[in-house]
Amino acid sequence: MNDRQLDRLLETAALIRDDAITTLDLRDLEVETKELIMSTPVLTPVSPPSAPGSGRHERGIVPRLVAAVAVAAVVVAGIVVMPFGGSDDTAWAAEALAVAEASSRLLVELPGWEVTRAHTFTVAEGEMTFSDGNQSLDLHWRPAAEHDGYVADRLASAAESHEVTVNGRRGVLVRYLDSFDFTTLWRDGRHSYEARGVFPDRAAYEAVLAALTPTDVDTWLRAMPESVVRPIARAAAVAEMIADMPLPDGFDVGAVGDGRDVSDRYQLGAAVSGAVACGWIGQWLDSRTSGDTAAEAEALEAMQTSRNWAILLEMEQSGAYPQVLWLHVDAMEADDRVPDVISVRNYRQALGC
Amino acid sequence: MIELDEFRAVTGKGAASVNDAERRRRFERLFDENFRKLLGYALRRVADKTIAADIVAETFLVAWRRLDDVPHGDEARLWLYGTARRVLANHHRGERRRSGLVDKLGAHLDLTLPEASEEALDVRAALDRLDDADAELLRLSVWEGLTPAELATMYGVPPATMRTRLHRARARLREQLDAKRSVASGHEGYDGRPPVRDTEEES
Repeated sequence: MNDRQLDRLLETAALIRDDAITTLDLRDLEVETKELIMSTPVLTPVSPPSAPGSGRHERGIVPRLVAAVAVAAVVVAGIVVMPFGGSDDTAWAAEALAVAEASSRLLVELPGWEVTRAHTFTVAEGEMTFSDGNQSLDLHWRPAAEHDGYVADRLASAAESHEVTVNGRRGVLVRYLDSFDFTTLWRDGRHSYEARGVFPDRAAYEAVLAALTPTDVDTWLRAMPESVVRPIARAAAVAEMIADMPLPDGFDVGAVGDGRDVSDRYQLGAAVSGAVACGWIGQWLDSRTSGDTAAEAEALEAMQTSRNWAILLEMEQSGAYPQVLWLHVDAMEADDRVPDVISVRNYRQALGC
Repeated sequence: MIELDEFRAVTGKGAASVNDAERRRRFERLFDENFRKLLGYALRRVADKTIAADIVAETFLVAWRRLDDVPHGDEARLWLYGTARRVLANHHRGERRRSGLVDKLGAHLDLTLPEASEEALDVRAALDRLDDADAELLRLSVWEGLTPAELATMYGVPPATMRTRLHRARARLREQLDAKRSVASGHEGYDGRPPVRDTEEES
């Protein structure tokens, strides 16, 4: 088979060709997609980064803005006070206990290593990050039924793969192509685990992998860092966050979040401040339509106080969600006539509510 | 507030307005010229229309946010393919979370993919058994119609190197197809499993 014959064979495997896509009636959808993308905020450097290739732009605010907006989109608006069975620190919320009891409760037992992040924390799946300040390891858990699919996917991008033992279980270690990005997958009970991180070499990665140690429920749940809102403290944290926020009529604190995961303060802050802001922005837009100038002024005034909301000032140190929210205040003050910023009308997408 | 010393949000105020208007025009042109090409790219790689829509929307979102990094002229399309590939890889690694926007886009894609012939399935299976880099080179070459010179630009390698890689990728695909035929005709030597390498990937 010559090259031309081989290419013709390959063409048959494409399933859909560009000419078929050209004939689709997608015009309205294209316009809407384009507008929505262009309504998302962009941050641009005031001055060029300090040196070409410094990587500053990549590591700076832009990815954090993306992360902030992604978090906002993922965090469901609303927190429900999680049930818990006691009054002291060891009385964990039922959902957190369920997660702990169902999982291997692994911690990295090495000096300086601690949990720095916990996210999507449910019995079925979750992820947490361990770090010593220099290197980090992401640990995911997922339903065991998904294990083979993930292994196949990782092997498809593997530069090398090896059989290893993690926490007494056989697993497969993979190094991704063209990188020192390592990941290992193993199955344990009802879960498939994956531990991934970028390390200087395989030995450094395997040293951390070998230090993954099972712990008891209390030890594991207590290992959540200060920034992680443990379920038992969640209701109090929400109450503290809204203390300096004017709340729109009908705002339901109990409807913020679904209460089934553990979020860190940043995520929780985005959920809470976003829910409050969305209430006010909704009132502002509605009142402009109805001509209720008093309600419009009230909403604007409430949003202007957001520049002093304690949780936003705290979050500003670690991400750009507050800036995105404040851009909406800027736009409201400018009568929503600054089309190159943010269209207030797209607030739900931008703020994740 | 270190970030604000270094960066400012695009506010559309003052002198920035002219640049911002230009920026919007440039993005609109980029989007209009490439949206359907990218949609084709994604639909040829993932079976789920909504996921394909997600990949396209995310790719253009990256382009919108990093418009200054997008090259001008024909190379913009190559940049978009490269970005789409990374978005796709993240999707495979389960790191992408879909936005409401793309759910809507996926739901509106009034498209029925033709049923694949047995021959097409065989070729796709053979592609899947190849090293991911080899398979993607062949897809970009044949499915997206990129020339070796364009591929060389996209991957940042000399054209001669790219021609060698393409030649090698075709040879490996032939091997996979031949192996399948050997099995079909009763020969031994192929176990039907994807190759798992235990060696360094050549650069």
